[in-house]
Amino acid sequence: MNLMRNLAMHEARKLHADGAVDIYSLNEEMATVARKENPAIQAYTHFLNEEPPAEIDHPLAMFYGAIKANIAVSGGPLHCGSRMLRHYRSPFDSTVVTRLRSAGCRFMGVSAMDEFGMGSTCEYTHFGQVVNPWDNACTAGGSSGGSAAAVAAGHAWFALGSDTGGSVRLPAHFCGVVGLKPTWGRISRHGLVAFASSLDTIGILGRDLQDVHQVFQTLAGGDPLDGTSLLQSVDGGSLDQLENLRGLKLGVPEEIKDMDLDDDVRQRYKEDIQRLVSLGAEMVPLELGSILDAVSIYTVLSCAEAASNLHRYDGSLFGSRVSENSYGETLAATRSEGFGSEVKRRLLLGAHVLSSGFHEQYYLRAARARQEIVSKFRTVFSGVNLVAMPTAPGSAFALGSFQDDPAAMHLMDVLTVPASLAGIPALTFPTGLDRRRLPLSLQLIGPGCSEKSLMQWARVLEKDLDFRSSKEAPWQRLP
Amino acid sequence: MDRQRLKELHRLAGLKYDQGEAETLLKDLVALEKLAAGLPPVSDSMANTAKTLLKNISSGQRLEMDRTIEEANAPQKTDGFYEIPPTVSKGGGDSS
Repeated sequence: MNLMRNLAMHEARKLHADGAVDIYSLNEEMATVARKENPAIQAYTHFLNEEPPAEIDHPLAMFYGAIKANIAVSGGPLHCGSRMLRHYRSPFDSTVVTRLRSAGCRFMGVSAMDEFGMGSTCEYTHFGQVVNPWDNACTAGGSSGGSAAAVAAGHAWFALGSDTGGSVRLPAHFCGVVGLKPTWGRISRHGLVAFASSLDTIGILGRDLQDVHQVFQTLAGGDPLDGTSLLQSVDGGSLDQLENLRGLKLGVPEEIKDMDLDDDVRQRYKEDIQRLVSLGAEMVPLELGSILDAVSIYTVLSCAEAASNLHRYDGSLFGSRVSENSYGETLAATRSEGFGSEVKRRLLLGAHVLSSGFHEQYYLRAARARQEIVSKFRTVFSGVNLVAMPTAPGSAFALGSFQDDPAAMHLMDVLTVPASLAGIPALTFPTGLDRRRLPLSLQLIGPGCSEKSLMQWARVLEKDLDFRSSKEAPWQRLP
Repeated sequence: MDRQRLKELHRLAGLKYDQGEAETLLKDLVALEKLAAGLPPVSDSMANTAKTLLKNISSGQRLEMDRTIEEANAPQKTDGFYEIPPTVSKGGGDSS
């Protein structure tokens, strides 16, 4: 067994305490292997060479994580996958980094991403495209593809990503790891570079649910540096309190039957629901209606907010500058050279939906439709504890699949954007493989601040399925 | 969406208009616009609330409402002094 790739943090810590393994040695091995294998996977754009962490009394002490390139690490690159910020270094630590450092964690490196979080494949980046550790011809997903690939390849114990419309859940699904998008505001966004502020969240990727829960407990909670952070306290304790799922009311949307999903995804979803029911859950059929048409709403709102947020890159404050004769010319030249094709497309659409004459037709209508989604979810959660859905319409696809039709890429988010628009937590965890032996997953969505319950329920199924023992998984390979 | 509109959007988004990129961009934006146009219908009550809100904002009534709320929340004056709300500590006093 390859311990460095195979053990979850809580398992490694237990073995370390018993004297059976030495986490420092595993870390050294991880650093060596990550550097050796990174040219093929490209999960990291930069290694951080941080000093070994101290052995303090915290469940996360001594472990190395990967951090997405849009989360500030003092002195580290904060390039957001963009040519615009390719030389930019953060002058401060984000709140999540500060909290992890206090827990005794360090960072292996800065992980690759789609430019400013805009993409589902990690191909829209100034840096190299990330490949899937399960199959190097396939995408690792995006935009937190580098973070997911690092965890799946065993190049980090855990990783932080950001999820605006599915950017943690999609790569978690494609790479066979656990991905949590928390309630909006539950984890401080101080130090996260903004894409669409009303949707942005910092998410967690890990080898199993217990590890993700531990990182979540360390990060969640109010932050005076982020006025939108929630003060709600976080439940501590173990995830292993439930033996079965008796008493759980499981919402299953009827519309999933008519959606355009791969056969393998459909089959996996059916089997997962049956498994949950056999573990004691009560299945409650639901009609979500327009919730599953949310891609349009998401596209309008996220592009509008991106157009506003990215206006700060004008060549005067952050990143690169192309000097011309006037401010207007400098602005246009800097932005045209600094931004890639996908960002430009979204900025143009954002300008369109916000412009005079179109504002009401698109932006206001989308904002109203979003409120209806929030209300609908509120009604749904008065009758069920959680809603179970697939994470994506298919498993990892070949790199370059959306090269000629970038608009079609937006449809990959169809199952992840509803929770983002409602600001509620969603958890993706691997449950099986498709015919190509690539991972598939189940997504659980719960009411605001229900992260711990979601993880507890999911843990019952995780133990039952034992996905991490899959022989095909990249963490089973020897370096 | 046409070339003229695309040119205008480049100006609004602070980007240089590139003749060479225009054809591809136009095709992509038409597809994205189609996606955006698929917004679900909004129920009457929600649409009316939003319409009233919009009307209030454009007529300046909303600003008046904001002012009213501000005034309602402002500390009350008695005899020329602001009365400190009971939940706020008045400070001073001894430390016993």
